[in-house]
Amino acid sequence: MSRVSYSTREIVCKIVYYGPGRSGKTTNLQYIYSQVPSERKGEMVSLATETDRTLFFDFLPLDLGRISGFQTRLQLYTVPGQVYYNATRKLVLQGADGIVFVADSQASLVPENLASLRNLHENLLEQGMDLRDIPLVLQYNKRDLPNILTVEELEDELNFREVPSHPATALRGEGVFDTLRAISEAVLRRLAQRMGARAVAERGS
Amino acid sequence: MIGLPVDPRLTFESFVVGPANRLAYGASRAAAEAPGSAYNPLFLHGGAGLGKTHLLMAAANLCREIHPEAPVVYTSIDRWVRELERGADAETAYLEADIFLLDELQFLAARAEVQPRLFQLLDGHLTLGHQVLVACDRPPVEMDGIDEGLLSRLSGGLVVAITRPGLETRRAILERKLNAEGVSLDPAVVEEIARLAIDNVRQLQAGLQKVLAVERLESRVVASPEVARLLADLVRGSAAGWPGGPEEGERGEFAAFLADVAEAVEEVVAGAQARAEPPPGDRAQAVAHEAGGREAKPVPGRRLGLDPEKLVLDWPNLDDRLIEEFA
Repeated sequence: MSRVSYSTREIVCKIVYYGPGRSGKTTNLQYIYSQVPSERKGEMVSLATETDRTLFFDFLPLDLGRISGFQTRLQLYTVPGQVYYNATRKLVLQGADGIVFVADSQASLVPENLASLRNLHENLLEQGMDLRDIPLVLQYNKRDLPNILTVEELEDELNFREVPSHPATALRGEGVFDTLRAISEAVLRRLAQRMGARAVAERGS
Repeated sequence: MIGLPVDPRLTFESFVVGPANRLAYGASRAAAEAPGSAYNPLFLHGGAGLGKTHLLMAAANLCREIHPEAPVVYTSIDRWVRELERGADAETAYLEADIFLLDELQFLAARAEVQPRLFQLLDGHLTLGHQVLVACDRPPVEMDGIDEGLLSRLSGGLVVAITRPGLETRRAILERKLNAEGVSLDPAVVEEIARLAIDNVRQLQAGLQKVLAVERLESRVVASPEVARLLADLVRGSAAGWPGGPEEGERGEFAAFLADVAEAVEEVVAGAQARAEPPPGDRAQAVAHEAGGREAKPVPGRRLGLDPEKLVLDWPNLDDRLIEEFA
C-alpha cells in the first residue's frame, strides 16, 4: 500500500514482480541491486531454498533520495513462482501498488505464463483488487535463448490489456531498468492522480 | 541605460514546461501579466542551466509587450554592484523600474557591503507596488552570509524551485530545439540523448549540438549506441572518460532511472501539497495521508517468522515489519 506522508515528507510504493517459476524475477532484482550505489539500497533479502529457487520472496528496499523535498522509497518484491506457494504469493501481493509480470519468452513455456497470469488475476480478485485497476507492466525475459517467441507473438499470447511491455535479458541487465522505469512511473502517476482527485473531493466537501 | 540587455528569443512560448518547472513558469507569467499584484517578490531557485534566466527574460519580454509604458530592468548582482559603484544615479534609476528582475543572487553573499542598499531598493520597489523577480542557485534558507532582514524580504512573496526536467520534458526540449533549427535526427538518437544523466538543459542542448556537429562535419549519421560515448564529457559521473568501467556505467544507469522517475514523484508531491494545504504558519500540524485510506498499523518488534502459516496470519503488517526488520 503506497504511503504519502506530508508530515514526514515521505513517499513509499510497493512493486511486486510476478510470474511463473524460473522466469527471472529474482534476477531482475539482483541486477537492480547490483546497479544501485550502496548508500541508496537496503539489504536485499532473499528467502530461498538450497537449490536457489525462491521459497518465500525477495525484498529490495530502494531509496530514491529526496525528490522535491520528499524522501522517496520503492519496495521491490518477488513472489515464488512455483504453483504450490500460492499462499505466499497472496501474502506478497497484499497492498501492491504495481505489478511487473515477468514472462519467459521460450515458446514451450506459454502455458506456464498463462497459468501464472490467471493466478495473478485470481489472487488479486480474492483481495478485492482488479488487474484493470492496478498498474501492470509485462516483461518478456530471456530474449537471448533459442526457441523463443517473437515479441509480437508474446503480445498476442499474453498482453490482453495492451499494457506496456519490454523485452529483456535480465541476466545481462538488458531491459531491467526499462521495466522498472515503466512500472515506477505508472505507479507514481496513478498515485498523483489519486492525490489530485482526493484534493478536489476534499475541497468540494 | 542601466541593467543588462534582454534576449528577445527567450519568451514563455520558447520555454518547455514540465512538472519540474510548471509552478515557476506559471508564477513568472502571472507576475509579468499583472506586475505587483501577486507573488511579490517572486524568488526562483534551482541549479545552473535549468531555465531561471530564461523565465526572468521571458517575464521581461512579456511585460514590455503588454505594458510598453512600464520600465523594465533586468540585471545581475555583479552588474548592479558595478553600476552602484559608478555613480549615485543608478540607485534612482533602478527604483524607477516597474519590473525589477535580479539574476544570480547567490553572488550577494560575497558582497556584504551592498546588502543594505539592496534591502532599501527592494523595500522601495515593494512599497511602490513594483514587481520584483529574483533568481538564485539555492533557496533563501540555504543562503549564507545574507542579512536576515534582506532574506526575509526576498522570501516574503513566493519561493519556487526549478528542478531537473524529467524524461518527457527532456524529450520535448530536444524536439523543440530540432524544430527551431529546422534539422532532424534519428528518433532513437534523440531518445538516447534524452536518457543520458545530463544535469541541466544547457548541457542537454550542448549534447544535441555536438551530435549534430558530428553528423555535419563528418558527413555521416550518428547511431544511437554511440551517443553515450560521444557525449561522455557531458554526462554526470563519467568525466574520467567513457566507458569508465562497470562502476561508471552502473551509476549512469541508476542515475538515469532516478532522473526519469523524479518527474512522476513531483506530480505526487504536487498532489500531496494540494491536499495538505496547511494553514499559514501551521505546517507542523499537516496531517499524514495514506493514499489507500488506511492508517499504517503499529510495527511489531520481533523478527519475521518463516512459517508460511504464520506469515499468512500476519498479512496486515507485512510491509511495515519487513521495513523494520530488513531495511
